[in-house]
Amino acid sequence: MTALLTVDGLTLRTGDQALVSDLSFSLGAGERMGLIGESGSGKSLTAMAVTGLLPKSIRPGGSVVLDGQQVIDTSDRALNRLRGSSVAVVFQEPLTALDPLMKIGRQVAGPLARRLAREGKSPAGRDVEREVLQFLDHVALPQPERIANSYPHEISGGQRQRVAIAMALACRPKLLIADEPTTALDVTTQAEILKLLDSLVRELDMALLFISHDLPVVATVVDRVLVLRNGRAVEEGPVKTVFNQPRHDYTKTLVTAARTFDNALEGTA
Amino acid sequence: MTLIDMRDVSFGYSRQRKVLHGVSLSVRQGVSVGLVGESGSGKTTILRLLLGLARPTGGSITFDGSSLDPSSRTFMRDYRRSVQAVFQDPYSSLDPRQKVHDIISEPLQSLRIPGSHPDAVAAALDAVGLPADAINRYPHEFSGGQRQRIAIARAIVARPQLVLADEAVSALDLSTRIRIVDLFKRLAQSMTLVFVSHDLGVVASLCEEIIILERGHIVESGRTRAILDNPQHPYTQKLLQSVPRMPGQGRTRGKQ
Repeated sequence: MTALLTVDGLTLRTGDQALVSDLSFSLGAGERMGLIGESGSGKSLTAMAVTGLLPKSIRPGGSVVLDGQQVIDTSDRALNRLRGSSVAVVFQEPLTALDPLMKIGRQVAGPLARRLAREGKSPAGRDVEREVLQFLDHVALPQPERIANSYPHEISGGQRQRVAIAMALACRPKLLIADEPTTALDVTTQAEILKLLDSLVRELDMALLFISHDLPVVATVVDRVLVLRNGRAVEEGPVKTVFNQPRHDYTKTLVTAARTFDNALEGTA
Repeated sequence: MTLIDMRDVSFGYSRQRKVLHGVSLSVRQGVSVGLVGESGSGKTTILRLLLGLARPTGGSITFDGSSLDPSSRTFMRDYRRSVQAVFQDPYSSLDPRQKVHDIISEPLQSLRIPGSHPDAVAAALDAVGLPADAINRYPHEFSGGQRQRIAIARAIVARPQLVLADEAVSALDLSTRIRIVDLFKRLAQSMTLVFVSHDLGVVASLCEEIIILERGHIVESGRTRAILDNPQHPYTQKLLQSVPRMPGQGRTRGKQ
């Protein structure tokens, strides 16, 4: 079976500086992988490269094949067919990811209407509206009618992130990219959102590329991790193997640090 | 000895919008305290009150027995000498146009502390693990972790009794965070630390006592170990359960 996403020798440069160097990995349909790295590791840039959303100042090299389509150096027109159907992204900060001047219902209706059109349906406005409410309900938002009628600033951060997830799901993508989706949230909200992502990805049989600096968070949602440092892959493998027997010194440093805080909580330090 | 005593302190921006409701807590010399809560819990408000940046709308705060009065110049001068702060963002808390020496010696100058300033700055740099030649450089030449070390050096240069830290390691990468936590741990042996954070793991590894805040109320407080091992309040229990854990080791699994 061919992979859903194959990144092969990806290099991202700006000026004479390499931000990502010779990065290769692949992700099959329904698989879940975590990209772990600290600031400057290139993890978010890699996600942007996969969706073809790189800033103009960054020159990509190598190959990214998503759902059979080469992404690198491909026109926006061709990529627009991939966006939504093959890939959707949930970003870190739901307040900036949502349009502040548009009611939630209309924002969710946008990607939903696009998908329905893609599937050859031309639903009435009322049907779209009904499905929007279903999606809001699906991401466990209380009172979907009220939320649909609200502006982003009128709901909480956790609720906004649920809306962003609902928008991504409305596309029915084969691959969901979540870029630090819980970093801006409180810890109790984070737990709820992780649980939601986990169950929805399973239910809708999507592949998940989960980007985070937080090792325990990554461990709760993915099966496999890739550790990035300064734009290079240092280690890759199943979560349990990498977190329990890290081979690379850098991974060891990260794992030791994460376990120190874990152990302090457990009283085993 | 009790350094800080807050009795039944309330704070609100208006009568309708109260952010602290009758908070009582005390900080004893030499006992580091972690203030833990989520957004809107009032932890930063408590810190602002302790820094004298805001005045409580009800209740009282004393430092070392005397009332914390932001309008009293003489009190505030002594207070600033005794209480210093470290903030979250090491990029915005240092003046980009000042050299490290000027940044660190600023409290000595503004508080008119006698003695050799260069010696005090050198000692502070040494205590935070930065090289002596850092004094002639500018903040932009340092990484985030190093900048936080500079901010900590500035906080300890006047040898305060109490350091208030507001999410002081939250903006740092994990591998840097653990080193700065170690630095705070070392400093906590010679001064009292009040550490405000949303991160239970950091507070657990750093503070002897913990205060859990929810929406302007203290829901639980006491010895950190005792509370983490046996949380009584439902909110503390929920908070603890929400913290994701590493897989495979420890009592609780990350994956449920």
